Amino acid sequence: MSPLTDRIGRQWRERVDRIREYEVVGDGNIFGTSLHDSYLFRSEYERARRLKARFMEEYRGASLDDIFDGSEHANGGGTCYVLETREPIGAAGRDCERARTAILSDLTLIRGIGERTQQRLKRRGYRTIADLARHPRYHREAQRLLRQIEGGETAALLEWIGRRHAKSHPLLLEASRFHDAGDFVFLDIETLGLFSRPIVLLGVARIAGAAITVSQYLLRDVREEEAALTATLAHLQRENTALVTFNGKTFDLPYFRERLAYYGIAARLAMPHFDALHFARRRWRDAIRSCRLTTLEREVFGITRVDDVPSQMVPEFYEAYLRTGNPGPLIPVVGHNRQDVVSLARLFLLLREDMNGGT
Amino acid sequence: MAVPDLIRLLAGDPRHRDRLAHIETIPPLQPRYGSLARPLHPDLEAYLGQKRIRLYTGQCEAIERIRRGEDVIITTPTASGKTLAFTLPVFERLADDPAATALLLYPAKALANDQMKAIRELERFSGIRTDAAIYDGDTPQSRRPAIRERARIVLSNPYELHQILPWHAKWGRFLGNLAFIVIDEAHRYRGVFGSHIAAVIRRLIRICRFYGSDPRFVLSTATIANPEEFAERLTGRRAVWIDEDGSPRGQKHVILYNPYFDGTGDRSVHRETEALFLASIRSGCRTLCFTVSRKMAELIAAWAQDDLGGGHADRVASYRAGYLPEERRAIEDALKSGRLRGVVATNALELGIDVGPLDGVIVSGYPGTMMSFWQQAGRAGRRCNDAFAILVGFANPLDQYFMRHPAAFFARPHEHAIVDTQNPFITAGHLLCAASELPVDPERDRAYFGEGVDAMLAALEAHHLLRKTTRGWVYAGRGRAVDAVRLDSVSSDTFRVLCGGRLLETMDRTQAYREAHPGAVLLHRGETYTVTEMDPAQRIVRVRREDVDYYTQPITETTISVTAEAARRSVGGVTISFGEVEVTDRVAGYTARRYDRIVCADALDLPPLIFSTKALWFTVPDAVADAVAAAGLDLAGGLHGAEHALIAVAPFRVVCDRGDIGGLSSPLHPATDAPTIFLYDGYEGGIGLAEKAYDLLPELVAMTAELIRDCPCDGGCPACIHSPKCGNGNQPLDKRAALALLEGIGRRLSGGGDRVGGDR
Repeated sequence: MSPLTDRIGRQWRERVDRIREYEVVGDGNIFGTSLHDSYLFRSEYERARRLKARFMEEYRGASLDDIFDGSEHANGGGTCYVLETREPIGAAGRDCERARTAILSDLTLIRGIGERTQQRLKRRGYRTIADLARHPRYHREAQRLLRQIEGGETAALLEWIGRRHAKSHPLLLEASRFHDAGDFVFLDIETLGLFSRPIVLLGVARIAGAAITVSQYLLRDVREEEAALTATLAHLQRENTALVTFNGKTFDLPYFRERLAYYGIAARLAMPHFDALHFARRRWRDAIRSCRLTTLEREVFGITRVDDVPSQMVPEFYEAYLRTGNPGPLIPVVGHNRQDVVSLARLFLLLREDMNGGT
Repeated sequence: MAVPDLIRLLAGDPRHRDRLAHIETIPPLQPRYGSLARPLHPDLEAYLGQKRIRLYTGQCEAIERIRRGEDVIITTPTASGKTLAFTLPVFERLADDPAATALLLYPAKALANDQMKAIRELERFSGIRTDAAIYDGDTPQSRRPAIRERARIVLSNPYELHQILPWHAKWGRFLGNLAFIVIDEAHRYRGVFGSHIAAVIRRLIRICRFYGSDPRFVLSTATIANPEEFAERLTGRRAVWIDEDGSPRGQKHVILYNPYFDGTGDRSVHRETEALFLASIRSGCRTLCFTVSRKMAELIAAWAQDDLGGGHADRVASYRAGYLPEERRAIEDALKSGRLRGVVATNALELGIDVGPLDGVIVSGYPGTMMSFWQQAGRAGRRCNDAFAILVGFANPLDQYFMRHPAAFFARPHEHAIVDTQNPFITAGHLLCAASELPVDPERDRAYFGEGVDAMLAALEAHHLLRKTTRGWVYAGRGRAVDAVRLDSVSSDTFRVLCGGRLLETMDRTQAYREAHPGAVLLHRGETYTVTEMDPAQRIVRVRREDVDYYTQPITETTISVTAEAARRSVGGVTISFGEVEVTDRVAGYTARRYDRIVCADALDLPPLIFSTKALWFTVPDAVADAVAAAGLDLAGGLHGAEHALIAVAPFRVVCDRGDIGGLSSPLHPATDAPTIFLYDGYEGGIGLAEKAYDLLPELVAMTAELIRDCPCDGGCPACIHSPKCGNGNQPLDKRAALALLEGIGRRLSGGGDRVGGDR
């Protein structure tokens, strides 16, 4: 390499390294918290930096295989590394009847019907959407919705409900009962930053019987991204799959789509998508100060994470591995991702259960 | 008849008469109408009929070329119907192909907003649905998805485009059907900015190819000397040049006015400007006056208000960037309606914005380019009436050259707009962006990023920013690539200047070392600040607001070593070379001066600045050097003076600021073993100025010699061989030696010569 090109490379590296996508704020300064995910408290930041240094020190000279019990995964996109774990979980099964009843009793799903009109219609004997199928004015829309429910296309149904209600509306959760627990794919991704950069770890969880299995597709090198995307895509393209994420409508899914487009991988991702963040916000907004996943799991399940890396700092941890080959910093990243997926699943199932209480 | 009254006044009044260097009367032009081979789409013909518009010859040629699928560059003047020349064929295509889309790029948001009105009108009248929309930093998040999904015409700017490209997946429909890329005011994209925009455009084309589209380019620019070359550098493709016009114009008097005619000037040029502005308003002319700085715009307007007195003071106003949009609009409207008789403005008013017909324009100080001057002068007499434009000459080399050589000024050898696509620093940055948009395949992408792409990919991988995969090179940096690339600079090695806790401005390292070292007096918006502290590692400069009556000048030591000579030719014993050099700049100290008198000097301990760039250098033949010495003149002072004046004159032929070019002269340089003058690009990696100067050197030398010869001063002055940025305090200088050298070299260069290889 000529001295000039080397200088050019170094200059750009320094420039890129200077970019930081989060801000470190003084402890307890909650004014920063209005900006989603873009701040870190000073103490969290310092703790994470010590954590990184400690893992770097402890695993100097170690190889990836020394510390992870994973295996190589190969597909049309190449190879990547996969870590599989399993733990018990309880989940209610499908209850189509209940979902149908809940949806049918909400007349406001029909365009032109607001809360007041609904009350008037109910007084006049139009108790369900099925009744409305005979209404002179609303029959066409009502019949269309009925057909959609019978058709079993949850994605279209979610879209319909989403047009009439907020993203956190309980009816959306009710619609999840059209699905068996085994249909859900819980997804959480770790990346090198906020968009336009590789996804470095994809955590996918599924429920089978009384257990949840987590598959984590890890890039041992950036060149393994395509294989990891391909593996995850296979989960999402299985029949009847319903995607569950935490803030995935804003982050995980668009990011995943962008990376598929980047590699020119054609994929139709039209599965139903439940974003638990919105339901959690509605459920715990008043009780819990922050709706970060780590806060929720602590308050709701009493889980306290040890040696956790804050999401915003995952890029730095992964980059330390990329540049040095030392796998130490990957340990908290993999642990963080695994805990996120499992907590996401538990939280979603709990929210879905909660509906029984009639919230 | 207001304009003739003013001309008579200027020619008759003894105070003005002496200062009147030249009046050039440009005769009126009758309209020439053209015709099209086949009529436009019926909806567009109906629109033209309704608006009673007949197309000029220039518009017809543009339409025919664009219809044929050719790339075009249109260089017709302001108010010639340029907009219609491309909107008509774009609309026609969008009417015929209901999927087709067009991207219109403007250099400023205000201009896009202005043009949007014309496009909406065309859409409404013609009934051709394009869902045209502006997509820029001001577009609300809530409206963005709908624009991406539906709009067929998008108006934006290059900054936004740079940010959009990584999101191309969301723009798949728009980009996949892109039929036209229109680049308005393209001459703005030159120098460093131009190199960046050229790279952004290549990234755009690369993505268009990925989605299967092959858009045509339509460029519109002010008049430049090299439209075809410029278009090819900017877009990477050949374009047909359209300079046919056909639009009518009234008679115009262009006046060169020289307050410095006697070599001294008894009033400041700003006071002289104000006097002209007043005379014009009092003659009944609606007048626009352009100044070089915001502060002067305010001052001249205030003086004029005072002098006009109570009853008429509110008939003039100032106008500059920094005013609120509604304030600006109020001034524009008042000028248009005639309530205001005069406005003193910065070039914020130069482009686009319509202020109605004006009788005259006063340009206070040559605005740096012919392009700008004619754009500003073009504001006068948009309708077919008589009009005037006055250029007030300042006491600097280029202004004074024009005042003394009106023929050169009116021969209008417009500048070459330079776009260098070879700057490796800039290319590498955009290569990173491209790799974050789609994997880079060197075989395919060489076409966009040049032959150096392989070496650069390897260097970027070595620094962990890229990774080679089976799909190509993938971006692997942690920060977002587009955030690392700023479109207006080569280096983002920027210093922040803080006053108290407030950010005053930012500057790059070179500028910070020269102008904001400890002890320096920094000028910011007309206020003086003193530098209390500079931290080169943290890139922070702290200043204190302080009124001082002195200014500071850095003392720099510059050395140049040649790293690669790319071309050489020898003409009449003068060897001219072009190539890559390494410049080492050390700011060794500074002097503080009160009115040109040194009041103190101090040493500084700053690390040297080393950068690699492109340079042109030439040697002085022994015979010429000996003659200078034999006449008892100072060779070193002559070389130094010639170097300063060459740099000052360069902007006449190459669009740039004199600060964009650096220079060095040496009576004996190790690279040549001869007396040598270097001119180099002042930006890391080069921006194409020295490369162009290599081709134009004979002309530059001849012009510089004329400038020095005709300057009435004795031993050199700011109007000829002094440089405001000289790192040696303008020492040594010898005006007669400089002239002897340049004339000697000029004679040899014009005598012709032979090439000795190293051809590029």
